[in-house]
Amino acid sequence: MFKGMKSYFWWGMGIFYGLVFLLMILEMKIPAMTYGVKIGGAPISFLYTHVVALYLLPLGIAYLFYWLPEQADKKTKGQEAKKHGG
Amino acid sequence: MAVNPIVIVMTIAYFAVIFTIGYVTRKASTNPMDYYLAGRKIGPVVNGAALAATFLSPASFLGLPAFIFLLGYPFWWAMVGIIGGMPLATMLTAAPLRKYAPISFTDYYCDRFEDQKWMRIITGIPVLMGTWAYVVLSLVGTGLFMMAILQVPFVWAVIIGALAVLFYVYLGGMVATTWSTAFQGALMAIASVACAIAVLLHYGGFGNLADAVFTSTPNFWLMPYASAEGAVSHPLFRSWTGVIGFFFVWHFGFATMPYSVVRFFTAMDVSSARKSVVWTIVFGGAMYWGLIIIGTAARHLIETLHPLMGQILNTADGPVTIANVTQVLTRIKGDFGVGGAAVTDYSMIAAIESLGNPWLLGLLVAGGLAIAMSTAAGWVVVGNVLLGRDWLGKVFGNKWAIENPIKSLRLMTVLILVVGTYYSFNPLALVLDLSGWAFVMIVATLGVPLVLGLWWPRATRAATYANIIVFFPLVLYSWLYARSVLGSPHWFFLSRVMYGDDRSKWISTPHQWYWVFVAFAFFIVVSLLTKPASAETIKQYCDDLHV
Repeated sequence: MFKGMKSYFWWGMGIFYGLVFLLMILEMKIPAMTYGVKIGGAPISFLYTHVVALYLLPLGIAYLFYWLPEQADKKTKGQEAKKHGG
Repeated sequence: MAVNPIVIVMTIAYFAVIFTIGYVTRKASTNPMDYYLAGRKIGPVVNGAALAATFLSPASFLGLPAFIFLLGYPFWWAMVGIIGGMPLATMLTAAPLRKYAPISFTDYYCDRFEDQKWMRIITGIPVLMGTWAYVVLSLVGTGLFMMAILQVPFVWAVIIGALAVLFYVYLGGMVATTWSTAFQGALMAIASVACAIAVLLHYGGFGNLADAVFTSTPNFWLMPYASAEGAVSHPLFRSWTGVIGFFFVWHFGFATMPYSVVRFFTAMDVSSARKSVVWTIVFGGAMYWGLIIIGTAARHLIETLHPLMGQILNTADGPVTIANVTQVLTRIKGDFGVGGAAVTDYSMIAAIESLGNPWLLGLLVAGGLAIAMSTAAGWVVVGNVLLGRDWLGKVFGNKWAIENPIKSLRLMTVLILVVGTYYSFNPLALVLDLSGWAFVMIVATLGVPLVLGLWWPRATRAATYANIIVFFPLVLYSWLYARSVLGSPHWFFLSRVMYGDDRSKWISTPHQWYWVFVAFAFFIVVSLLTKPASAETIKQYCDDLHV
């Protein structure tokens, strides 16, 4: 099952789920975390949930899932061209 | 309250753009491949914006801020789950399916599981249910926006929305749908972000907004077990099954739902399909960023600024002076409401109305119409191919449908929208809620065979049939039981059997989402017990698609 799936897929998903569930556990362990812990006067949850987990993290992982196969394709094409004397 | 001319002008401008796109692109759809799939010529930015607008429905634009309004901060994680599910699709389904390059959603199941007739019928049934539920939901969303903000009578608002969708889907098929939906995707993101920035400016930043919310609703920021006294933001978030459940309930949909999957087929190539997902997050994530701010501020904004505060609400016990947010929303529902819609569905509109800025309201109505109409159109183009090409042409071999593919699809477009409009006129709450059932049901019945068909050579035809036959009624029964007997589709349907009437012990399982994981296990077991497809088929439709 999932034979042929690139390793970075699992790394990307691991980072996403790992970070999300770590933050949820921290919120469970530190009751004040959602509202009481502040950065620049605003609850830190605006940073880690609202900006990082909601937007930047999925965007970054989606970009890597686009960019890494592109690089691999370019490398393969380059090697093939070299092999055929191109 | 009189409607501001600026709001009217902005709404007219929105419709003018949509009609223009439909008219200009009408000649681009002269051959069936253009009508089905926009000739597979759509670049990643346009496809990504269209994906965002199609996948995110009025349930997002109206429903998610309402959920935050009701359930508090923990629901932010549910929205993270929806956007976080998008990168999954890049490698799981978007790239392999674009390499395979089918025409309709059911094609893959027929080819992978070696059955061109019954597979098309059986897989089409959940798709058709989804089409019906989402077209009705979207048309009602269109009506709600036009009625609550523009005060257009609801029936006329639904008819205008349905005619606009009919105009561009009928004329331009997938070409017109894609371009208008991409415009709608950009518009809904701009509307949401602009309204959120206005809210932040009103409060003077994130910190002041958070403090105001804490003052009016101290429980807003609580997670399960977060306080020593055991207080929680809402009973549904009393346990972590609620938080994790809401995180996962819509998480896998983007990779497997028909209305998003067909947009992977319209991309120019595999690379473009992958990049489309990046742009979907750019637009969809931005919209969600804004919705979180609006949903968080809604209760405080309405209570402190809404013009209906202090006015009269007629109740069964006689007239009362409006003194809280529930009474404001009840009055709005009473004045402009629709039978099945919940009072909280108006919280997003009422929150922006409280700011008293006609430009924002105009943008909100345009953004709301955009997201509602784009989802309706997205499902119509799935449904018309299913009915006009797959069932009428391929299953029943209708000569007229085979020889006139575009006419056949146009006929089905009219049919779907007439039925959808009829059910939208006086929607029962059950009909509006059904989209939640349809979502989990489609992921459990069709999503599982799609993902495992692509990534597991051992996936079988028998398991696909078994999944659909077992989980279609099972998800419906458990969802209906929880909703009707336990009072909410978000309670685990066996809660009363397990814990009696003590609601404090009941388990929260939003929309019975756990069936998705049960369906995966069930599919694997049945596949291992039944005969796999031929080696040639597995190579062609599984191994060779791994890119």
